[in-house]
Amino acid sequence: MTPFPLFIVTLPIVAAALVYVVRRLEAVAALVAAATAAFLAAAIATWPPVGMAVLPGGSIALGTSWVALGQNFALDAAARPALVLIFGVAAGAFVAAVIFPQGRTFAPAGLLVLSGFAAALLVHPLFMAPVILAATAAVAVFLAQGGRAGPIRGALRQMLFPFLAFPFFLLAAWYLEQAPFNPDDPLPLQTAGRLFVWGFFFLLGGAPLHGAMPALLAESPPLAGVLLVLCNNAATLTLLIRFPEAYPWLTGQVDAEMWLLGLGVLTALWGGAAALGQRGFGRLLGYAAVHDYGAILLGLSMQGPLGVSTTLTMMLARSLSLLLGASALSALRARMGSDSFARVRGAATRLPWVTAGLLVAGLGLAGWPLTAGFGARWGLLRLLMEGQPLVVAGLFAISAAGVVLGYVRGVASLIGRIPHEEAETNPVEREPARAVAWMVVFIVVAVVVALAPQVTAPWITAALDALTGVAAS
Amino acid sequence: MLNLQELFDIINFVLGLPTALLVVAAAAVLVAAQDWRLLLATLMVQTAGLSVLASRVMPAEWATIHIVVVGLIAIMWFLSARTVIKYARPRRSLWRRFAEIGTWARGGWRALRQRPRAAISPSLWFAQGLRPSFRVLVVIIVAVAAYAERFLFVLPGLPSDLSGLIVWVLIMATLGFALSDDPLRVGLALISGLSAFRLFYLALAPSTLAVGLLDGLSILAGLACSYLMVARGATAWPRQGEPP
Repeated sequence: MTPFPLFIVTLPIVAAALVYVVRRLEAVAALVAAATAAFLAAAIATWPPVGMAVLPGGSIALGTSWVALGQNFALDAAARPALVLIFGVAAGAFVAAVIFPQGRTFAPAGLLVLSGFAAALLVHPLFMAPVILAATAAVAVFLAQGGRAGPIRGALRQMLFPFLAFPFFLLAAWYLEQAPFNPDDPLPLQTAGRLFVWGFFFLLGGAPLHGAMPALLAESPPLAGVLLVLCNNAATLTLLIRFPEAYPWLTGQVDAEMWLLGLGVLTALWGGAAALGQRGFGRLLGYAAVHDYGAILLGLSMQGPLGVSTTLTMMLARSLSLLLGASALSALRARMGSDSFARVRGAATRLPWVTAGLLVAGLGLAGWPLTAGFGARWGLLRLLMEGQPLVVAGLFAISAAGVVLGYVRGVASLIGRIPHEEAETNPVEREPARAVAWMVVFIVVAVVVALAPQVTAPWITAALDALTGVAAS
Repeated sequence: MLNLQELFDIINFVLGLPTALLVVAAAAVLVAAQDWRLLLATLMVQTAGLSVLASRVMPAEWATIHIVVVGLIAIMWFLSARTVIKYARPRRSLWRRFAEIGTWARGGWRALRQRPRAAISPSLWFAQGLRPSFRVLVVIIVAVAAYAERFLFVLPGLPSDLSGLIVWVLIMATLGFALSDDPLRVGLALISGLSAFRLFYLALAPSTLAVGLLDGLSILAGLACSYLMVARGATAWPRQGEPP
């Protein structure tokens, strides 16, 4: 019988090998990758924690762990929500890649990267997870670059910060091992706490170390960039929530609420201010994502189940908005050859649904009414106003206004007439029907989530059940 | 016949201080120098020096493995850089080369040196890295600051001289990250920093698993940077049908 964690880690690798063989048939490769990711998401979400699952090739032992290189890989309840989100988002991105091709390396490299993120979420002890994330980030370079010659900043930066982070975790673990030898000496625990904080500072990628996010969305194939950003966010935030459970003394050594609050405000402000001055939709989406990430960090700073549930809701809305934004961005680049405001003038007349997709995604990341992010943002604002000085909520609202104004500038460049000579010499083709269908589905889902946030309640409740014990501790 | 450990012990005894000084200089050169061949050679010098010194706190075999790993990375980067340059350089016919020799013969070395330089736009210049003179200045300022605060550089589990050395290499690696977005330079800083951390960590918590993990991560980082070097350099290649 195959242990379930081994199955979760190896199935994407096997699928990647298969997909690599058929990579020239991009749609087939993307569909196989989507099926693999969707199957794993469904299996993790629905299979019981213990027992046996029978598949055509053999059976899978659900409750058992897997030991490799001296490390224990086990599927905890706390890791399930992040794994379901990661594989679910990947399935969505791979399906989108059938409509908006992302290059031949997208499906195989994407599956390899998924395997790495899954391994990082399954490994015990937890301080080994950043080591696996660093290895995953090195492999993710191939996904982020997508086989293109050109700017490499996004791919390089996303690799850099996990490599800077993991030494802090290894050293902290060593200090932890020293603590029992001299129980009266608080220094090893204090040092370990400080090292964990520095490690998370690099790993989380909040401002001012947020450079990977806008660079990825501006330079990489959009769906690859979004897949990497979302998987990375899900993995690191889950680690951040699980650490206090694994190392309970940490809460006494580190004022996590304070530094998460500071990091969240700074990140949201930085994202909002930078979004205001962008001249291209890729980088604008990147800075909107930075702003939204700041909001998520703020949500996490509100300790307890309420903070965690707000964070989960925001993470779900972020996934919807970023997938929609990346799809629209891919379509815009494919039709206009660029995403810069100057080059897409008048595109709204030929690509109305792409324009709508860009707008709904961007405003969703800013928490605008009638978009996916609104409900969670409203909840976060209320939490901030109740628990923090009013200036925090004020700064947060101002930063969201920066993102909205950035999108107003962008859409103003899309609306209007295509210059006469360009319209004659190089007419822009209309968006294909399946791209329109994809946009419409996502826009409708975003509006439904905004109008009736209770539709996400079952998922949020299940995820909260898995994480609440951790958060409450 | 000497075994590896005895050989490293003798080198440490006879050339311990010069090796440490060599590592200090190599770490500074990795930040300040411009030529990629010099940078790769310096990386190997630094790795060899660190490995010799590392044999004081870990088995010589573990130190040797790291030289092999960084050697493999340097070969990867060398091949990547050669590939980029080979295809980016305009191909010159044999007659054109003869004509250049004739120019050189008529005007001598001075005429060859006074060829007009290719214009580089400021953005490209910035992307290619800061000027060596500025890098040297930054290294000097940081070196003075580090020397003034040298008493703070105490790492657990290491003799004081090795502690200072490791901290110096880590500081230079951080400067390397900060001063460039070029995959070769960032890669050099990454491998350099990982080498220093490896020495420190294996002295603290010696295990074969840690050796495998850290060297495996180094190879992955090297491979990724090698790929990015080609991806970035390929933008300079003439496209099909484009005149050289």
